[in-house]
Parts: sequence; C-alpha cells; structure tokens
Amino acid sequence: MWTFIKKDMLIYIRDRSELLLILGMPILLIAILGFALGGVFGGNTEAVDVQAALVDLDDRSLPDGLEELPEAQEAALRDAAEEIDPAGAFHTFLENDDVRDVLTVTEMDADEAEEALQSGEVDAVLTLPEAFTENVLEHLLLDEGDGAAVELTLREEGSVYAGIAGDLIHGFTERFTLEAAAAQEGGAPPGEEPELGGQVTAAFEPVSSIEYYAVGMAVMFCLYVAGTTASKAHVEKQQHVYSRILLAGRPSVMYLGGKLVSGWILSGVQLLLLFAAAAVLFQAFDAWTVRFWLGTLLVTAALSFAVGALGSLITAITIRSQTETAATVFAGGIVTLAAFVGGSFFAVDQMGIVPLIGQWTPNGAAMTAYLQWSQGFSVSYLLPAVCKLIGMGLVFFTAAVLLFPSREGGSR
Amino acid sequence: MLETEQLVRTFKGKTAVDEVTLYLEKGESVGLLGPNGAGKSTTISMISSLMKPTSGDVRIHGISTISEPQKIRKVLGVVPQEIALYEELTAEENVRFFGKVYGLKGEALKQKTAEVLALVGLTERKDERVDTYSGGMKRRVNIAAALLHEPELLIMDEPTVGIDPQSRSYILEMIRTLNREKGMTVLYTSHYMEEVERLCDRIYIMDNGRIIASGTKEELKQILSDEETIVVETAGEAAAFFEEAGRHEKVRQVVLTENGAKLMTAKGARLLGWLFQEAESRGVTVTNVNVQTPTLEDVFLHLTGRRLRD
Repeated sequence: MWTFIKKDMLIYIRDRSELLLILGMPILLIAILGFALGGVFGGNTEAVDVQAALVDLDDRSLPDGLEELPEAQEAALRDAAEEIDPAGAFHTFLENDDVRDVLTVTEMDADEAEEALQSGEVDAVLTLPEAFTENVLEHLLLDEGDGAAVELTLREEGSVYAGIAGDLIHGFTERFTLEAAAAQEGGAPPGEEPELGGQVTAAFEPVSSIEYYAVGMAVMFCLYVAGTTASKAHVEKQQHVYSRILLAGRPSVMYLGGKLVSGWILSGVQLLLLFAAAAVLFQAFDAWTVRFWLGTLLVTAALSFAVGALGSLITAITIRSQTETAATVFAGGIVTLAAFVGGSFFAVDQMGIVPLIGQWTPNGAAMTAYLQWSQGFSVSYLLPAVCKLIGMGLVFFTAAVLLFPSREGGSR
Repeated sequence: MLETEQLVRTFKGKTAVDEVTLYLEKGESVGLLGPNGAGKSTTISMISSLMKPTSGDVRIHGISTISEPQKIRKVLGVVPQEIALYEELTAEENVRFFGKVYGLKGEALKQKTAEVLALVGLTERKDERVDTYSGGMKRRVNIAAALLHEPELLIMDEPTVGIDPQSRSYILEMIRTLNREKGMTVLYTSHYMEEVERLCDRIYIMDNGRIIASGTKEELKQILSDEETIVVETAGEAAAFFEEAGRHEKVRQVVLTENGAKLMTAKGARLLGWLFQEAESRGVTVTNVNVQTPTLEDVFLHLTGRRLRD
C-alpha cells in the first residue's frame, strides 16, 4: 500500500495550485478574518458568551444541628457560617468581572428558566437547590450529610458553552471548598487568593479571534484534501491509469487504503502547518508548550483520519458514478456548508439545531475539541470528539469499500 | 492463446460490439483495423477484463477472463489509447510505480525499470516529469509501463495516435522487435492501415461493431483481386465529372478525396482514355493519375463504402 500512498503524496505535493489552496488560502483568511473581526471578539477577550439563567431556591437557613451545640461553639460556628455563606458566595462569584466576561446571568424562577432553556434564550440553567446553604454548612461545619451542589442544566451537552459552564461550576466548587476550609480555620491557606472566584477563570483561557479563525479555517480547509483526493482519482480514471492499476490485479481495498492514508497524512500535516503558521505569524495559542501540541496532535490525528476516510468515500462514489460530480459538489458546496454549521465562519451556538448538526461534522467536532483544548480544558473534554471522529472515519471507510466497484465500468 | 466467442456489448440498447469472434496464436501479431467508433476499444476492454461483455466469453490459455479475471491479468500488458500516466511524476517514477503495482521489487524492479526505459529510448530523460514530454515521448512511456512485468500478450489500442512520424516509426519498430525477437504476442488496434500492414501477420477488419473480414494481408487483398484503383487528381470544380465517371459501366465505386477521387474499376478496364476525353469535354484539368493495386484501405472501402479515416 505504501506504493499508492507515496504516489498520491508526490502528486499532491507537486500540484502547486492545490498547495496554495490548502495552505496559502487559509493563512490569508485567518489574517483577514482574525484581524477584521477582532473587534467582535474584543481582541483578546472571549470568543464566547454563555447566556445562563440563575434559579435561586435556597432559603439561606442554617443547619438545625447548630442549636444543639454548646453555646460558645454554636456562636463560633454561626460566625463561620455567616462568613462562608455559600449562596452569597456563588452570587458574588457570578458577579466577578472575569466570570461576567463569559457568562451573562439572568435571575429567573424555575419555570421561566426551563422555558428559556427550551427556546434557546439561554444555554444553561444554574440552580441553587432548596436548602443549599443548610446542606452545605451541615456538611462543612458539622461533618454531617452529603452537602449540596450547584445544579447545572445544559441546552446542549458537549458544546463549547457547555464545557465553559461546567468548568465554571467546577472552578467555583473547588475554590469554595478551599475558602470554606480556610474560613473554618480562621484564615486563608498560604499562597491562596482569599477572594472567591478570583482564580476560577484560570480553568479556561479566552480565545482570541485569530485563534478562533486559525482553528476554523484549518478544519475547513482540511476538508478540501478529501475533495481533491477524489478529483485526482477521477483524473486517474479518465486517463485510464486506474485501469492499469486494476489490470495489475491489486485488491480495491489497497487502492482505497492508499487514498485513506495519503489523505490522513496530508491533512494531518496541513493542519499542523496551519497551527504552526498561526502561532509563528500571529502569536496564536500557547504554542510553546508541550501540552498544547500533545492535545492538538491527538485531535489532528483523529480529524485527519476522518478526512482521509472521507476522501476514500468520495473517491469510491466518483469511480462508481464515473463522473466528477461527487467531488465537485463536495468541494463546491458541502465543505462550505459543513464549515458553516461547524462554526468556522462564526460561532453558531445560538442558532437552534445548527450547532447540534455541526457537532456531527468532522470539522465541527474537531473545532470544539481544538478550542476547548486551547482554552485549557482537560483531556476528558477531547476524548468524546476524538472518539466521534474515529467513528466517523470508520463509517466513511466501510462505506467506501462497499461502494467501490470491483471492475471498471461494472458493479461489484 | 486468446480466443473470443461471440462477444457482444450493448450500451443503453445500442450495440457497440456485435458477436465478435477472433483468436490469436502464441507469438502472432494480429491487427484489429477499423475506423474510429468501430468498436475496437470496447472489444479491447472486454478482452483485457476491464469491461464485462453483455454476452459471449474471452479465454486466455483456456481461462475465462469474465469469470476469473484475476488469473489472467498478469499475463496481459495493455497499452491504452489514452496516455495512462501520472503527468506530475517523472518517467522513471511512473514506470517504477506500475512495476511495484505488478509486484516487482528490489533489484528486479530496478533492472526492469532501466531495461524498459532503454527500450523506449528514454534513459537520458527518465528524471523529467511526464508533463514536460512531447506527445511521442509520452506514448513511449505509456508503452514502457505495460512492458515492465513481461506480459505474454501485449494489447495495444491505437498506440500512435497524434504523434510525429519519427516517434511513430520508433514505436512501430519497437513493437516489431518485441514480437519478432522476444516472441511477445501482440494484438494491435489501429485505424492506420499502413501500421497494421507493416506490423501484423493477420488482420481483422471491424466496422459498426462487427468483424467484416479477416485473414492475412494477401488474403484480404484477394477480395479485390479483380479490381484496380485509379486515383485521379484534378484542379478546380470537378464534381459533375466524377458523377459522370460513377455512371460508367466499368466503374464500381467512386470515393471523393481532397484533390479528386478514387475510382474502383474492374481489372484491365482500360478506362484512362475515356477519363481524359470526358475531362477535356467538361473543361476539367487533370493534374495527376495513378493506377494502383488494391490496398487494405481499398478493401475497407470496398466492404463498407467508407474510408478508414472518415
């Protein structure tokens, strides 16, 4: 199969106009869109603004158990309880400037919040449940019960917004536990910032417009590799080179496998070069860290596998139909459509079912993963997207093998 | 070695190849002669297992290429009419690629690559990309790619279309060498009568999807043994003159050419006197007259009423 891979790669590399399309054009667009739309993103401010509803059902009551304690101890714990004030801390946390930059909170009752979530008015609902304060304090001060948690309801699991909201809550909980412990012991732990919410935004980094479009254009233009793979296969068919390959008696899966792997390698290299170019030319990403490149490499490997497999599928359709229509339609329309629903041109999280569809495109799934990773999300956020991309690739390649004709001009 | 049995291929109800039966013995060089659109390429595609016939069968060494194509594909070397090469690759890269596809590797691949490139006269320019080559050079690499695995049967579909006379002569001589000196069996399709006459031991003439005649050159020309051809060239308008010639009892057929016409007459018809008189009386200037024995072109003309390159 290496013979086919090497041949395909040589042909691609020697096609200057194609190289210009897949490398030069995205760099140009990153620069144009990144700088032109920088204002929309506010320079280095966040690329996203999560709309959230806050439902506060907590009555702020203190644990009953306090009354049963000796008077001195009860007074001390009441002071501690007032200082900890979990519900108040959460409100303060949400009013923190850094949090407000990415999270716009509107207080609603439970029904209004449910309705807003359904209609797409908000991306998430944050709920302080009944007896939140009582349960938290009971757990912290009296070491009784399981405590309580801020409830998070998301409109769409797996989106960038969901990840941000989840990380906010997680950051708050971590900080709150730390602060509560400090308050209980009468002071902040050494080296820790005492103000609640002061560090939580460290859970994710803001995305600049350049970074957003570097990812957006890279995932869009890597799809062209799949289209070009099929176009070149059509030329092979037209020029009867493909007949020669058939005459040599090589199994069709080897020919398709060559398309898969060459597309995999080419789109992978293309993606990494584009990210490197964005890092060098536009100072995008934390490009000088090993962490950035490890996660990027993981997503890139999965995305380029899906792109290679997609290329083999379009090749199979092209060879079977004996026309270039599939490749032309893909490059001329489907790539643009996929780029749109995947969010390559602008964030589509507020656009009804569009982001949901986008997450089922290779570029959309990868874009979410790349952005989450560049924001500092943990690897657990990448894995679903990586698995999804590998799954898409396997489906594409299986379909390609099933559709591929075994004899020129005939069916299987 | 090769036999086809009542091969038929239809496309959307139209019959492109109609009950073609032919055979090749080992070491033979056989021509398939016919005008463009006669069905030669479709026949070749079916013989080389690339296209399934609507009915009929092809057997090579007794093995059906229809039911067991994989078994015979390595016996075949096919030179398609198109330049079936990667234009972005060099001649050597192309030849090596097809060699590897045929399973050659290591020293054998290196040796065979050098050998076929030398055979087609491109050793000096093997490192240049094919898209920088002339048409003739591309045709030569096209042939080289089919020879690498030393096929027993070389099937060539119009391998000299659109090239200069020197390249054509080089290619024809090369095919002759492969057939005569290396014993390679050759099936050669062309609409160039002179190529088939020069290269082939036996000839099948094909028109409208059917084999209309077959045999050695001599056997085919025997069809017109009682005829001769008078080639008349004229200056100026002469349509009425040739129309009148067509009505002469000894003229069997008149085919207009660029500068005049070809008259098929009975052998020894002694028509020249009448022709000059008629031309004189109609004010037609005869610039050249040539009496020929029949060629394959004339045989085709006789059989179909058309010229090969119409």
